[in-house]
Amino acid sequence: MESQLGMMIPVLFLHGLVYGMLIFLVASGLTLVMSMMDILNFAHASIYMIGAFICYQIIQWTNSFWIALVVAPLICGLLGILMERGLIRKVHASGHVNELLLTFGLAMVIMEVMKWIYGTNPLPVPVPPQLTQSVQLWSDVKYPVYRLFILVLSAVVLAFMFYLLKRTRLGISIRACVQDGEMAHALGTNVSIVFATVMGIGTWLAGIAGVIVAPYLSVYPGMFSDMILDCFAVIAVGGLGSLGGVLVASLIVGQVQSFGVIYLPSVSIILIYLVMVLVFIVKPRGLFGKKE
Amino acid sequence: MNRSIETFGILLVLILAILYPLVAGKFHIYLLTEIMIYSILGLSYYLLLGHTGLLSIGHAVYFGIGGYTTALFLQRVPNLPVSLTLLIGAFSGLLAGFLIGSMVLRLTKIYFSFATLAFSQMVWAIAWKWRGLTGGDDGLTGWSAREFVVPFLDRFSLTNVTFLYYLAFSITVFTIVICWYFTRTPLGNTLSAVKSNPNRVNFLGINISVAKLMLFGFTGLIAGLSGSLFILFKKMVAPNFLDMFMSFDVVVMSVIGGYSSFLGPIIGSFVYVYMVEYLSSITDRWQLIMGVFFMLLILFYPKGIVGMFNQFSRKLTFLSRKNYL
Repeated sequence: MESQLGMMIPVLFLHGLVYGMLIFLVASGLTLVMSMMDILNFAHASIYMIGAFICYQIIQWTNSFWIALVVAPLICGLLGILMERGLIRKVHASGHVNELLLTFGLAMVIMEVMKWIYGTNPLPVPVPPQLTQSVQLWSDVKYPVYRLFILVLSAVVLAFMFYLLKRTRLGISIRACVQDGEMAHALGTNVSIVFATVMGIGTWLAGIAGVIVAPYLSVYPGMFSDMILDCFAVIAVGGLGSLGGVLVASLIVGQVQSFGVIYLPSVSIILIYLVMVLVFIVKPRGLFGKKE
Repeated sequence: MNRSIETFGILLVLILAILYPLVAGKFHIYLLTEIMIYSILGLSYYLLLGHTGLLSIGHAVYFGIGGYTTALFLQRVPNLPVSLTLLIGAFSGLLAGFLIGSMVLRLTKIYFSFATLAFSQMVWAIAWKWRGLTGGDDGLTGWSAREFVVPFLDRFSLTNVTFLYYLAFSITVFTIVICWYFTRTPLGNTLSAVKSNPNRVNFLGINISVAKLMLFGFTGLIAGLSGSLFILFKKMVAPNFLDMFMSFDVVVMSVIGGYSSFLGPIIGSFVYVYMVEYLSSITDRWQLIMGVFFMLLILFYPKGIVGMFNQFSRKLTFLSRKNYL
């Protein structure tokens, strides 16, 4: 038994890594949007859910995971831009209370629509046939290729995000807007377009997460509340507006989740919130949060 | 509005509410009891959001803590009078308010909202996972046989719908008076000044953090009281009494009525409960309709029903002044 548990540790570590990267994909877009526009966007996790449902639908129609992987995130990105232009912007003038309430209302409506169309039962999505095998990691330990694929894909996206933010002109604008939107505006950045772009990129990332999560956790309307809470935990721990902080926090939460479920099953959820509350007490703005 | 009309209106509502159980059926008495309990919760929320401008999105946590505490005392201490458990529930809300307030009040704006949600989620997770204490998913039950002793009157069973109605009614009236008085105290004035200009209040030498902490304790007390009452009424308590969706029900009710007016949450809970009741009787998709309704309200009438009414009456006075009416 003892040796079996010892074998499990690397596997659990990998599970935690995969889950952490998934949270990161959703939370990274959310934290950028949140720190730029000062709103708590509840509908962000709904877009992730929509991504998963679109993936299910496309696989039903075309039987190809790869088409879904390309098309669904694009639709999600478009929806995100529409949401920013059509709804959030409308109530921006009347204060952040109304913005928050609006995004929550939107999240509820999206969840109800999904329940209406697809029902409440989890819908299975097959793992793409190219990735169904398992690989031998060590002497006795096998690991499904699909999870490794999630890991690689999210690492690629992560690298792309950091490149975009640190090395491109758009990235400079985005970072300037996160730091001080008014100042960036005064210096000639078109803040409104940057907002829409970030919303688009953020929801595109959420869409990717939704698609790759579909074969791994199946698709159901409760995905929304599961993910939004993990995202909030991650952002609270990492600090608003800090992509690096969110990455570190996602990896922590992923590991807490994966080891907690095995070793302390009765308190695994509480553990995450406990980490969050501890961070709140010690550093109210998160580990890497920006100062006021 | 004219003072005498106001007094007349309040008296009329009170008399109607007292006489209501004599004419109405059990079902409507039940609904109105629920509405009154939600009004208390909504009022405590008004003090936070409408009066002080603090957007808490984890307000159900005090409601749930009050409920769970009362439930635990009802279950584990058989000889304790039910009225005392209500007080204990309210008091636990007060403690929770102070405790959570002392941690989240260091933050401002969106960070603050975020932190309130985080703490309420933690309490929810505890309620959901600590089976030994809270019964986990199943929640707690088993006090429907208890009796509520009213001194000098009689002992009433908790299954007596009319009694619960009058109990909720008296507590609601009491709470409304207390909350109204609270907004008129120096502390209340300070808090409404904090809403309009926190920096200025600070420069005047008033300690904002202490004032806000007092407010957190007070709203915790009121919300805890409503939670305790709610579990006497529902005869059970479960983790969904304090989850994210419950917190948002409070917000939805406040928005329907108008979150920046004192009467807003009371009117809002009335409309909300009857709307849910009506919609769920005609369609399965009532949550979708409620969601769309809520969004339209935020987009076009963010001040809710009270705001609509004010707009309308302003138009009327304008017209009457111009002698059009």
